[in-house]
Amino acid sequence: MILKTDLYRAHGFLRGLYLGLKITMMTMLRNLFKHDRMTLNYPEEKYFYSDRFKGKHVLTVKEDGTLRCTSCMLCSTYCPAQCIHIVAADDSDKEVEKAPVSFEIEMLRCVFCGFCEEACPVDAIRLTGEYEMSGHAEQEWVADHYELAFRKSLNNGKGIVSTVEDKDRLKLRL
Amino acid sequence: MAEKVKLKWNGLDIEAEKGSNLLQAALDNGIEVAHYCYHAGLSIAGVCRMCMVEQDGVPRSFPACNATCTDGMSIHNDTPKIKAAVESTLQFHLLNHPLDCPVCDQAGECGLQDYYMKYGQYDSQMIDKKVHKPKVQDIGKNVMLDAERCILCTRCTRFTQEVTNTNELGILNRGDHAEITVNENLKNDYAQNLVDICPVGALTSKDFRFRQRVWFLDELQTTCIGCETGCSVKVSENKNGAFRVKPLYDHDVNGHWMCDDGRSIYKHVSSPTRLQSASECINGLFVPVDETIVQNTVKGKKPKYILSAGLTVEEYAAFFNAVKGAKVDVALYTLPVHGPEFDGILRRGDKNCNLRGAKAAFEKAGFDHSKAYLDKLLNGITSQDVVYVVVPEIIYNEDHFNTLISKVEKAGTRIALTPGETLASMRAFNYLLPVPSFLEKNGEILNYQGSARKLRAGLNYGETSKDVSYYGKWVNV
Amino acid sequence: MKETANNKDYALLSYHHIPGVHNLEIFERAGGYQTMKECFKKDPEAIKEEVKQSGLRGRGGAGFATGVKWGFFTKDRKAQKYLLCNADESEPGTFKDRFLVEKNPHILIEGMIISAWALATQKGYIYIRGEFYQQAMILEKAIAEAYAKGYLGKNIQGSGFDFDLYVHRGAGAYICGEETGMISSLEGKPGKPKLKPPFPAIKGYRGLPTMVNNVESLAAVPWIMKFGAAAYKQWGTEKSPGTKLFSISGDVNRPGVIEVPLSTTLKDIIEIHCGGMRNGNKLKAVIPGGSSAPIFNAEDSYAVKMDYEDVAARGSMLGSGAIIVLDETRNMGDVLKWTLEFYHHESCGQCTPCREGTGWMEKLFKRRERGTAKKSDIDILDRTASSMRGQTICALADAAAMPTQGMIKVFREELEQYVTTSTRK
Repeated sequence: MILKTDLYRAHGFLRGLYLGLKITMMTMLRNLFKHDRMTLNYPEEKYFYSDRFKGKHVLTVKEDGTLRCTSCMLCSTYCPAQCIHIVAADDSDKEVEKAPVSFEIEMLRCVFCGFCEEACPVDAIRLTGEYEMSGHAEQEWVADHYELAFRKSLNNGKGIVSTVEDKDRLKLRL
Repeated sequence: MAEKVKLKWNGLDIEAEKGSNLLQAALDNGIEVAHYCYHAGLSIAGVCRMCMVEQDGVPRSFPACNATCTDGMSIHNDTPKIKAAVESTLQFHLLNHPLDCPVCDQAGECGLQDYYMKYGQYDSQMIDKKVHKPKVQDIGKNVMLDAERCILCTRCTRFTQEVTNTNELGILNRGDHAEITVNENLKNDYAQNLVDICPVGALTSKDFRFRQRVWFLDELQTTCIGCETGCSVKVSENKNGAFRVKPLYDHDVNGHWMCDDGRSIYKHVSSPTRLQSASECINGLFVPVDETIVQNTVKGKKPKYILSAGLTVEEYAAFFNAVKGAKVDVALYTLPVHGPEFDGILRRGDKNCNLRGAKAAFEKAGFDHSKAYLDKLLNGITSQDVVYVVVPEIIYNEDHFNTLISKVEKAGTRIALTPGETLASMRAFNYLLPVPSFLEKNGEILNYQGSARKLRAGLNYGETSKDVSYYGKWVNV
Repeated sequence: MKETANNKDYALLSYHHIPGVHNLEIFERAGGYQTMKECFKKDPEAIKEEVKQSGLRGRGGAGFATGVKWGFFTKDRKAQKYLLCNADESEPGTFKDRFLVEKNPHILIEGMIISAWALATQKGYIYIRGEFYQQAMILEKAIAEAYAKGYLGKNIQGSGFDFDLYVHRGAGAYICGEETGMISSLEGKPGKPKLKPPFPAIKGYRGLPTMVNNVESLAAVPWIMKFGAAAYKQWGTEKSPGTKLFSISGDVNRPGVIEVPLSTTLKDIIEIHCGGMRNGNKLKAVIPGGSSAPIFNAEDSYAVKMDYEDVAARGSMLGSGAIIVLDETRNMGDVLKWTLEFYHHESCGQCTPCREGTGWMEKLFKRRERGTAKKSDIDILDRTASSMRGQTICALADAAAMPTQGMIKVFREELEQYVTTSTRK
């Protein structure tokens, strides 16, 4: 079979073999003698993913420390895994009017598709580069809004990923 | 039958009553015409300018809502001129609209959203400062007003003028500063209809506020059991329970409206105090119990039944079928009159939704449904008896019901079949058996006119049996 | 003074040179109320026919033939009906009715009595603009005089005809000059125009047949009845016969109210009747029929004949006959800005295109104050104005849209320059 391929016909057996395995060989040799190996000594070493990685969710927070989410439920409507559960209520601030009293994501059901991020009209939910998630019981996998917005691991230990001025959103109200 | 006329709408032949409203004729024939201010139950205002049409031979376009059908007229609303007019008028409607759909309860069933997707889809040119008006105003009777979202179709002001004659709402100021205001808080008993007729999110219900997005809800067409009027309603519900009740147009019974009392008839259905399974009352606590244990307890004892007037015709029939031949005492407990006899619009004081059906079933089976017979039965209760009380679904007058319970207490075994919330006074019963509420059963009830009104099953709650013979099952255990 | 149809002062202002003519006595001595007395001997239908023959057109702005309008009115003489006189003269630039009422209220009252007899209306109202306090007082006094003389009230002049006349002061809304808006206001409701049909002639004030006529139309009736329709038709053209009051304001030497036959050229009006342009400045533009009429450039202004057809043929309208003359020192951007501000302020807020459109046009045009204006804003303005036209219950949306579109058509470059000059501080 291989004798009939174009590569073999054009280059002969040995040269064809060399060309076919060139990249494999080069990578193998580099890994053998150089130190920038693909394999990491996880968890001592960690791989850095770009911000566009779709990892664990984060809820953004307004300057006054409340959630930016207006609980419009578009994310939970859009969610293909139906893992977002929001309970809305009146907000004391009439400009805000509606705010969530509970925002939960069932991490075990989430497929990390990022649709919630797309659907959000107010940039309240984002998917971060955080990929380390572990837990024992099922309950540990339901992330409430304290965890989603204020968990310790966020923003180098500051706990909040971003405080976006709410004026940005209200700018729409001209 | 009124005289029919034939007319053409976009080249399509339609039929309408002579002299009837052109817009209504189109809607009746299933033609979609954009409109905001027109409502079949209210007078014509002609202010939204969305239903503009052209007639062959008439130079100017005119609103269809203010035109009458005449024979042979040929109407168009698909010409480029009309389409452009509808689009630009929609643009005017949305010009000062705050576009706060994310926090607006109307989103999903909003006229502005619907028509924008259907007739608009333009790019906004508006970069100027919008006119701001007061938001989040509680105007009483569970109605919230947001003047900024309002498109001033005046449906609500016309409703308070024409239907309730209370005139609480009016328009203040002129031009684009015009806004709906209340001169005093709403005081009529039909205020929730304002929420229904508002085509946008300016008037929303405080009861339903932020509880669900409408696209998560299914509609269940059924009948209100609040009083003997028996209005056609649709109940919005999903797997989490029922959330709101809205009226359904019914020419013969309720027209377009329903009263505010009827809006809360869904509340007991998924109430946390409602029983999910058969329970026994032990030291004032309700403990789930197997139904067979209850059956063993009552086996062989002579039962006495006190039925409520809220069961369906089918349930009565199945019950009396089971009773036939057995030695059973059956009486009818009716709710007392609550409020005025009839308030002139829809609401009636008699809260027994199927009183006529109950009486007919009693008479057919040869039982006495009078109050005197109920008293006789109650006085004759001994400690040997098993008394079954079918609890009315909605108890308007708790004291009246509690007196019934106190009279039943003499009996040795007291069993309540309850479709609604568990009251504190129900601790007087030995056993509570859950029965389906009106949202969980199919059937018919006879309203004040004696006409059959349909109940439809939609929800599932707990271990309630949907079998119509469930009530009769306890007769012959 | 000899009474002929060829008096220099024409029809409406034929008494105005008499000092103190607002007194009934002096007015009567000059020949007033004679026509009324004769009219009571005539058949009402004959009066209607005479007015129809004269070709008198409604002087309020729309120019609908008065006789034809009377023809639509119910002929049942017993039924309760109303005659409304529209003295809510609020169009910017118009002040002819004020002048007429102020100088000679009796000519209006006489006209109303004759019209009421012809139309068999038992009650009449003069809806006068709220700001015309003094004029309302003059009218009140004149009506009291007429009552005292027995020209108003029960059984006028032994004819068995009753007619009561009242003055109603408006509250200063432009929209109340629209006939159904006026009826709403008179009923005690907010002055918002009503849907037509039904027309006021069928279902008007309090749901009863109501005839609404302008002050000038009603004031012309006595003259027509006195000298006949043929005499009235000697002036003007076939389609717009008679004379018309013009109120001229702006950059002319002698602004004021004049009466000239229709079809007089605008050039004659400016040069002869108004003494030419002020300071000898060059004419730039003329608004021929009040603020809602599209503007004429200098060329059209000198060529146009002031009658209904010719003004319409040149793309404007005669309207209420308010001629606003603008010279070369005027900026058309400012003119349009003030026009738009006026209509934004006066829109009643009922129909959406007008409510939102008038406000938005003003905001659009004032974008330069926020520094967000572009040349293309003029296109948006034009499009907005065109989508407002013919979309509303009353003509206010058209009244705002027409001058805007007219102005864009004639002075586009100037407006483009105006909007792009940022005035942001």
